[in-house]
Amino acid sequence: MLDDDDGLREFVRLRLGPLSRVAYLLTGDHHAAEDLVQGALVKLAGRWGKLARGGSPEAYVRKVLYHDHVSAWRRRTRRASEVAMGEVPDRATEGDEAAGVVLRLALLQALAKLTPKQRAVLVLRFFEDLSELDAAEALGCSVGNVKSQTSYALRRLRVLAPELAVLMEEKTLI
Amino acid sequence: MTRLNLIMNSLAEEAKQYGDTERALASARRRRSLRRVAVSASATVAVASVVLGLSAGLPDTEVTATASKPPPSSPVAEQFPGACVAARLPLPAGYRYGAVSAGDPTGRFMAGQLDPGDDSRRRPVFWADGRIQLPSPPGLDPGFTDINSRGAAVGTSTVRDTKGQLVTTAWYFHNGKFTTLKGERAAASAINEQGVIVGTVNMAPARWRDVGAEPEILSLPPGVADLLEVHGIDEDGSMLGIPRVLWHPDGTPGRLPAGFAGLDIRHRWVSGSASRSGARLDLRTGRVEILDGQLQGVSSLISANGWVAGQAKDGTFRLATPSRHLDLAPPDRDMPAHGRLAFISDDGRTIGGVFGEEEKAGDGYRAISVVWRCS
Repeated sequence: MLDDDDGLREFVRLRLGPLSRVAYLLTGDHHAAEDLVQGALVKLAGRWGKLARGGSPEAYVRKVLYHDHVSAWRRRTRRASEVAMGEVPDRATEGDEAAGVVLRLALLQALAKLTPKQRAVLVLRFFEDLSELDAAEALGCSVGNVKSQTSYALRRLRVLAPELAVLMEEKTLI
Repeated sequence: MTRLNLIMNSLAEEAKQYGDTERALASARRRRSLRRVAVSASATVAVASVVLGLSAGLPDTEVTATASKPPPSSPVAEQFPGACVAARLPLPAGYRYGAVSAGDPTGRFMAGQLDPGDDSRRRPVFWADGRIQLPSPPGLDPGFTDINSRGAAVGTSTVRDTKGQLVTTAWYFHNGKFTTLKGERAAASAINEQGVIVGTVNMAPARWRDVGAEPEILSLPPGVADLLEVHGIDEDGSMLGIPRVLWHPDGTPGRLPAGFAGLDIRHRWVSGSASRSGARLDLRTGRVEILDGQLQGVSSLISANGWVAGQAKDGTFRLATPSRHLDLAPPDRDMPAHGRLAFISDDGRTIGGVFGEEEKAGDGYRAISVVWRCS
């Protein structure tokens, strides 16, 4: 049991940074990202014995993170997500360390206008750099669904953040 | 790595380290023991309370805008308008939707993309004194980015390179004719009255001195590793980039004042973000003025007289100076609140923008283009 727990601690030590970054991109909010990661860690800890003996903890925790993100948002009303769109979190802009803050905020604002699934597809494809097949695996959906969600996301960005849409098209589609 | 990767990575750097392994282990043990005594219903409640307890300790940062008062004799000499009237941009027969993306300093020329609801049939549109043209730029999914007062426009499309990968290509459009700009993976952001164009080539900041010129790669100031965007070129040849880069007309890179991120440049005025709010910088004096928290600093446009058009924190559009502001209301009351602004004329009295509208059925998202005339 102790070995199992140490194995989990080591896995989390190595993977928590990347998981945290994905959670932040998915939610755009530190509190929500904290909830998302903690929920995934609890599920991971619950299955660690089995996963450590021959499963793929990496694939499992990624699946949990994306699935929980999409399903948590599904439970909210459409109205609530519309209200959230207007509230862009403030960021300090002082100093060189905050370089690029405006474009980051533009991305954050654009991501907030996508549905959770569209947002998840963008993070998988353009941040994690996964193929459509691997993105489909992580989301538990078909490749066709990944393609269509990417296309819907692109359609929104063309209206709301055309500069980001151009950057997306550099890599994707057709 | 593409530029979108770069921006996403840059955003991801704002993430903290979330989660607590020991708490997760404790929760998992608790769940196991609860399962053992077959009281499964309360398990998720216990987990949820742990999670809430964790996030409750994070303080919210206050917005502390250090607003500077406008100078007694403001350089804005013109009378600030009293009202702006919105109208939908006329579209060719058969189209209900379209997104305006660029306009010229006089407000005579505008350009954008028509949206018939089918991605394969989206096409560019150009308005010249209200007359609609339907040009055919090279490449896939072309988008206009800027126009000068002679009606010369620039934009970017995607094309397949020799390896079959989709890459961007930049072009120039004047008198109905397209010319592809030189340079690999080129993107054009802006053009000034002299026809000097700025953008990026292979993700590096670039300037084309004229439409036929080889791109000139601009050097970055010390301490800036990656350029995220080149936003604009002024009439004296100064060029604006993110992060906080201002190139002098001779191409020498400099920095904007610490704490100010620039977004748009016009006649020595720069709009942008400072102290977490919309702000403007007067390059003649070096003075940064906060727009009293009226505007968020995410996107903004500036006229030649220093008026800033942007989005307020609730997502509505505004025209603002440090002391005045005016709502840019949608033409119909039931129009959705979110969208973006595309251009502002030199006199600050013609502003173009787009409202996004959800399709009632399905995942569609349509653009309604609007022009405000202010007087």
